[in-house]
Amino acid sequence: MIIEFEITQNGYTLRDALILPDNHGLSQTAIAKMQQERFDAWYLVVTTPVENPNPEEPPQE
Amino acid sequence: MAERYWVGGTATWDATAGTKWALTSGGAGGQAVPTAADNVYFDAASGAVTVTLSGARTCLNFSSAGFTGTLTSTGTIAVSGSATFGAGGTYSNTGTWTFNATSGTSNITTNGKSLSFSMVFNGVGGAWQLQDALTLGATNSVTLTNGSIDLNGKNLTCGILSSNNSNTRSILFGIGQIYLTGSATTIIGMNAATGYTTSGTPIINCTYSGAAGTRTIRFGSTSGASETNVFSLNITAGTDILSMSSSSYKTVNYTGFAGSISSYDITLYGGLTISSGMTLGAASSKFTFAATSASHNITTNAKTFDFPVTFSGNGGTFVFQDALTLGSTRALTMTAGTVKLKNGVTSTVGNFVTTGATSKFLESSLAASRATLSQASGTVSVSYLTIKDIDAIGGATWQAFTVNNNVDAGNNTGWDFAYQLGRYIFTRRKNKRILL
Repeated sequence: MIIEFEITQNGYTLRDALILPDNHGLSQTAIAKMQQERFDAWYLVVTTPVENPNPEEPPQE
Repeated sequence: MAERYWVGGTATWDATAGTKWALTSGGAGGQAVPTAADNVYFDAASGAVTVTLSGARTCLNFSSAGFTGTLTSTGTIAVSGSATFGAGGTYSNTGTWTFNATSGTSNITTNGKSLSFSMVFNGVGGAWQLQDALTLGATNSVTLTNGSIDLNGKNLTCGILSSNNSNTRSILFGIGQIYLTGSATTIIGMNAATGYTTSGTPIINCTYSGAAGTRTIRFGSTSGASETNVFSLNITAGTDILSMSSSSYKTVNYTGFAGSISSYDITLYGGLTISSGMTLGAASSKFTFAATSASHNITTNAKTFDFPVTFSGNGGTFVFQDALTLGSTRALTMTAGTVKLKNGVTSTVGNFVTTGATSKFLESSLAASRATLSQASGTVSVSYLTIKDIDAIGGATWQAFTVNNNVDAGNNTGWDFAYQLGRYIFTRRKNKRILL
């Protein structure tokens, strides 16, 4: 089964889905925790600056 | 079509079959290396091993559901169908994954795993649909060459988005959005937008929060941009330099951005929000507001626009949320559309200009409450302009003669609407206009 979810925190919105077996047996609390973990991991990706190790020359304008 | 399950332990997925592949999960090895017609599985029975892709590998559908090992790469892989990345695996590839289906809809499922390799979508007639959010690393790219990517209401996060060609291709956003984390490079390379279409609410968020280098963004700089295929941009962070010139967008929102931008020639089919912390450089290249429908807000946050601004969207309405201040040599040009200056404040331009025979409208943002428009010197002579609730001030002379197809729609001050016949004559001798 697919559980689509959306979490917005600190101005960032993750739209994602949990894909689980139909008989997953997870509680709503466990599912909510998984969703929050997804958000936390993604939030870290989009808010942690990663410097490009091979920057290109800026274009001439 | 055959099934290929990895049973090779820690080894290299290359052109050598050995005993790496089985017909069934955990089965006996010895099957041939997968081809583009074979489904490939890494599963629990594959073990907690490290598999290194080498050379140019192929498969039909790829699945690592249940896999607890590591998939890394020195090569590339072409997937002709769907791909499912299991949550228990580690994916540290450096090679590119190419999705080259040419028919049907293929699914991309990542189960919350962040992938550190680039993806190319290149199949004429191919369609790929995200089943959950897709997240790649900040130096990894998504390249759309042919076919259609359906975000399916999910986020797509990567460092770079590239689609610089003239092929038939599309991104179906729905309510999904793209997040770009790249820096110091061309993070959106869509110079040629010919053949590109989009649907839903196309929004791209650029989230790099560092200071290094220049983020270059191009859409339609060489061809193909239109009101129907542009996307909105949110520049949410960063103190770096942005290069966005010679391109078209829908709405651009710089809230959160504290870096600089200094070259324009930007066409917007939506609104604009300038952040209070950013630096707008002086330039002769212009911002053009070209939306042909709906109302779009413009927020300057007290930043001087030391560049020309043109309103050309016939049918579009552009509403200032605060005062507009142009550089003293910069023109505000209206060729079409409705401009609503913020009521109760003074907007200042270097030159106020109208061009062309299309009707245009200059109003206050609040009916019956005047907005003030100031120009320091010269003669403003407008045509085909309907003016309402505008107080014209400054050292300039404001001519809006009705004989020039202007309309006094009421509550204006400082404008001269009445052309005085006989005020000017031409001398026969010198064909020179003199004031009586």
